[in-house]
This record gives sequence, structure tokens and C-alpha cells, in this order.
Amino acid sequence: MKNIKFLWVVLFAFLIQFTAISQGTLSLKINEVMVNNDSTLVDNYGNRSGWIEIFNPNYYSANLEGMYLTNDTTNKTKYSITKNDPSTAIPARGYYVFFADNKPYRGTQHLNFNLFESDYVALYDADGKKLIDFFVIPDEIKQIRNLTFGRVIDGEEEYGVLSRYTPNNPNDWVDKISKSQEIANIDPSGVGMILISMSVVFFCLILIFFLLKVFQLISIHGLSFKMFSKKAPIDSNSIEIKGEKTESTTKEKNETSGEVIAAIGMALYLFANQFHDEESEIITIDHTKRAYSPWGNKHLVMKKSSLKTTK
Amino acid sequence: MEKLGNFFINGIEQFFSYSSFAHFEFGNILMILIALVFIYLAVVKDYEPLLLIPIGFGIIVGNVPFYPGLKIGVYETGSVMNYLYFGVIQGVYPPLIFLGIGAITDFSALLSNPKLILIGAAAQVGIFIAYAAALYIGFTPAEAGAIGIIGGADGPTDIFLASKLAPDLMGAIAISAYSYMALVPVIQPPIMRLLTSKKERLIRMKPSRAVAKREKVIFPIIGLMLTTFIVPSGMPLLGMLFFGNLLKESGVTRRLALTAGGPLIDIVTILLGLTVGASTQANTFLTPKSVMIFGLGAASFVVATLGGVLFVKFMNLFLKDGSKINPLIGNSGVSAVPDAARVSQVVGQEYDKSNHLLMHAMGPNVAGVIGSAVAAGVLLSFLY
Repeated sequence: MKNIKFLWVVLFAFLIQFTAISQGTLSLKINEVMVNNDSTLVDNYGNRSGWIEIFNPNYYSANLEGMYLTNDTTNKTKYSITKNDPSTAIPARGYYVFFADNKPYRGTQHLNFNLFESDYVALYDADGKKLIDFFVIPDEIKQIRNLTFGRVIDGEEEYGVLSRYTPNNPNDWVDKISKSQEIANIDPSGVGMILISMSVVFFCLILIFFLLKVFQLISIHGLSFKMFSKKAPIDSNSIEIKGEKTESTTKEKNETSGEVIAAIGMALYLFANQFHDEESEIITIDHTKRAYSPWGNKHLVMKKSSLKTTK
Repeated sequence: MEKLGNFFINGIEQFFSYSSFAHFEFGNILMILIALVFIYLAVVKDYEPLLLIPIGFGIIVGNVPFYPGLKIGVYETGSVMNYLYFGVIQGVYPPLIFLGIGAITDFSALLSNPKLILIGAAAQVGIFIAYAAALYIGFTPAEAGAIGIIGGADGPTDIFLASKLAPDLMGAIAISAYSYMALVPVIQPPIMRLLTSKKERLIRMKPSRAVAKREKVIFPIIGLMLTTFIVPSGMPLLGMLFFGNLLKESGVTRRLALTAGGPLIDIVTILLGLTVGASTQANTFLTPKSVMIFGLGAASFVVATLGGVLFVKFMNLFLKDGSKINPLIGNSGVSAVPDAARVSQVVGQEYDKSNHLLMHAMGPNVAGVIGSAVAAGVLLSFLY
């Protein structure tokens, strides 16, 4: 039975892992495309060609291995991305650029087609059937040099001609200012920040305050959390004293002060610690060093022993 | 013979050029003197010795000058110190310390008297006033946020936030924060005395009620959800804090709680203290900005104490006679645990030997830990 449970757990873990991997590649995006590259990105052979940027919108890496790129609607598996190139793993929120130079013998990054041949480019999953993403490239992109078409914000669904080419960089970096700078423009004195932040801090702690109040009420009124109470229910309101039944309210029971509980705890601790097999104290004898005086002479006077107890 | 002589002289010169004496600057001497003051405060005055000894020694380590490029310094890629410093710049150590703090913190004082949690919120005002002051002086909002958090009196939170918002100011911020945390017994009492009357200092608070185990178990779970659902950016700190507390309070993971609250927190404290200290190389640390950070840090501490004490006085306006709060525990709203609470106790005892405020002060003190982590999360979400 235990083995079956174990197998289920393993299977479940495998499914989660498999789903995570699939979702990683399925969410990849064609992010930016340049067809007419006249003076922009240069490949590792010193040549310029059209290029396609793939973006990984996940916060974990995704691998392109085994997937397909194509510019032909009738041939989904036109360019197969090699499976044994570690560079095809795109880091979280990272990019990978392919050169559409029709020279696949130059390496993984070099495709077996160019972007002038068609106005379509698509990315297919490793099964060669599932379409992951595609672009329809506007004509002007082909006509005008160094113009790129892509997503206005990385991974988002708004497309357009981009104000500048940004291979391996965020498409919207030009217009973006840091959060810090934004705050500096909106709230230069910091007063707004003080008000908002203090409100949030107070709000959080007030929520906890109410939570604790609920705890307190539950505790005082004797409501019990069944999930934590294992004991059988007993009638706590009736206590028998010397044959006379006395009513004691739950409130009284809970009004036992911290000092009383501490005293009881200490008494129990001391009582329990009387019973032990080994003594924790070590008794030793230290020789006292003092100048001789007949008043300290044991033969002459009775005095306390110089026994000293140390822990 | 002449060749041998030249070889000998050149050898000596070369050896000297590799020694620290050839690269010594006035700044290094100054930093080493500061380190000695830290070690003195720790050993003789017993001010935060667990932090000041590693930081003080780290400052000496960081200010031994050396020939660059030998992979020795904390800022040189590939050096041992650089690897250890990774935990600081990537914000790894602070959450681990929070895990340990959670595993040794008892929230009973807070659970038994919930209104004390509000003091922990009020004392965070120091953070945001220091933020505004830093902006006024000319720091960027991100830098101001990292500086302001010094007012939370929480070293790991300071380092965590500085690593995200202003990594280049981390050394100055960390040293400033830990210095003032060590000086809590010096900074806070005069402010507490100034803001309270003798009658207020003699207020006796009701004894705390006994807290059930189930409350202690549920608190970290719901506390985590309540805070992090509102400020998810505080998750690394709050998550670890409440997780550590659940390890402790669940009662079934005693070994894990002991490890988190013992060896783990000790190891991380050593690494954190030593590397933060070593990051204060004179050429990067001794700048006008550092001086300003020290000034702002002091101001934020004062304002935080002031905020806590005044807020208690404000609360007392609405509380009945029997349930008033002694304003001397207001200073504990900063999260220097347990030093701030100890200060409440010591100052309280000066006026009434039989009035023990320590356990009451622990309430706002642990609330301050939560409050400063929430404040850090807020700053992070706005500025990062």
C-alpha cells in the first residue's frame, strides 16, 4: 500500500515537473524581427542579415532545443533547432537571436532561410505541430533599412514598428525610467511616501491586531479549536469540592494570571528535577590561600569548612 | 657581486611593493581605529558583542591594504571574501537570520496584549522621516529608502534593502545601523525621560494573560498571510521570520528550531558581520555620503523612539485607568530585540524597583520586527 502511495507521489511530482517544462517553452515569444539589416547587428562571422529575437517571459529558463522556426506556412519544420547546443537555453526574462541568413552550416544561430522570402515567421514546438508564436511582417519593414517590428513591451500583445532596434535588450527600454526616478518626479519631498507607507504598515499591523483580538476573545470565552484539541470534552463548569458541587465560570478559569501559571510551572519543574540519576553539580575542594593567622587555625578554633561548591 | 647586490635590493623593493606598508593610507588607519572602537564597545561595554566583534574585526580585515589583482579583497572577483560577500550583495544572509530570529522569538507578549502591536507600527515613522530627510539632502529615492530603513533598528533588514536599492552604500548603511543598535542603551533613555512625566513612568501594566499553544501555532501562519498578501515584497524576510516561529511553536520540529535559532543563525551572523565589516575599505567607505548616512541614521533612531513613546501617550488618552500603557515601553517599537525592551526595563526600574516592564516591552519589540520588515517591503515595492 505504501509503495502505491509512493508511486502516486512520484507520478504527481513528474507531472508537475513535466507541465512546468512544457509551460516554459509554450510561453516563448517571437519578440522582435529585423528584415533589412544594413548597419545594425553583426553576426559572429562579421556579416549582417535579418534577425529574429525570441524572448523568454518566464522567471525560469526555457530551452529552445528541438523546436522549429519557419517562414513557410506549408512547412512547419523548416529549421530544426539543434538539441545538443547548451546556448539554446534562454535564461529567465532573457533573449536569443537567430540570424536569417540562409547559412545553417554556420551554427545554431543561423537559419536556413531569409526573411525577404516571405512575410511570415513562426515558432513551433518540438512536436512540429503546436504553433507557439508567429509574426506577420509588414511590408515597410522589408523596404526600409534597419527598421524593426515587434512587441512594444517584451512579451506583451501590442505590436508595432519599434522606435529603435534592441536585439538582446528590452524593446521598451528607451522610454522607461527607473521606479526610483519616477517616484522622485511624482513625490520629490517624500511626503506622499511617508503617508502611503505608514498607512500600509499600520494597516498590516492593525489586521494582525484584529487577528490577535479574535484569539483573545476565543480564549476568554473558552471556544476551542477542534483541530488542536485531542482531549475528550469534559464539563469544565462543574468542580466537586468536599462533596459540594460548585459552579465555576469559564471566564474565571481563564483569568488565571501569568504569575500564577509561572509559579505552578516553576514548582512542577523543581519537583520533577528532584528525580534524576546523575548529579549536575560537581563538588570540589579548593585550598584557600591566606596569610597564616592563629585565628584561622583549625586546631585552635572552630570555623566553617572551606568546602566550595561549583557548577 | 654587484649583480647579487642589485638582485637583493630589487628583491627587497619588490617585496616591499607587495606588502601592505607600500599601500597604506590615512583612511586605512582611521578605519582600523573605528574597528578598535567597535571591539572595545563589544568587549568592555558589552554592547551587541555578537555583531560588533565580527564587524570590527571585518573592518580591520577590509582595511589591510594589498597589491591589487591577487584575488584577496572583498571586491575582487574570485577571492574567498568575495564569495562570502555574495550572501550580502544578493540578500541571502538577512532572510536566514530572520529564520533564526523567528525560531527564538516568543510572540506571547504580543498575543496576550494585542494593542501593543500598534506601537511597533508607530515607531516605523523614523524610517520614513529619514527617507524624506535623505531626499531633501540630495540622495535618490532608492538611496533614501535604503538609508531610511536604519530607523527600523533591524540590521538584517537594512542589509537586505540596501543590497536591492543601493548596493554601493551598503557598507555605510550596515555599519551605521549596527552602531546605533549597539548604542540603543545610550540613545533612547534621554528621549524617554524627556517625553514622559514621573506619573506616566510609574504606570503599572496588567499582567499578561496565559497564551494557549494553539494561538502560538496559528499566529505565524495567519500573520504571514495577512502581511505578505498586502506586501509580497516583504516575503523573504517575513516568510522566514514566521516560518522560524512555526518551527518553534509547532513543538514537533524542535531539532529544526534549535538549528535555525542556534548554529544556523550563529554561522550566518559570523559571515554577515565579517563580510560587511570587510566591505568598508577606506577608499569606498570614507566619503561625505557615509558621514551623511551616519547623521541620518542617528536622526531616524531618535525619531523612531520619539514616535513610539508619543504614540503610547496618544493611546493612553483612549484607555481606561486600569489598562493604561507605560510610555516607557514605547521605545521598544524599534526592532532592536531585545535591547530596546531591556532599556524599557532599566529605565522603568529607575523609578519603581518593583515595576517590571520587560515582558510588556517585548510585545512592541517583536511587533517592531514585523513592522520594519513590512516597511522594507513597502519601500522595495515602490523603489525597486
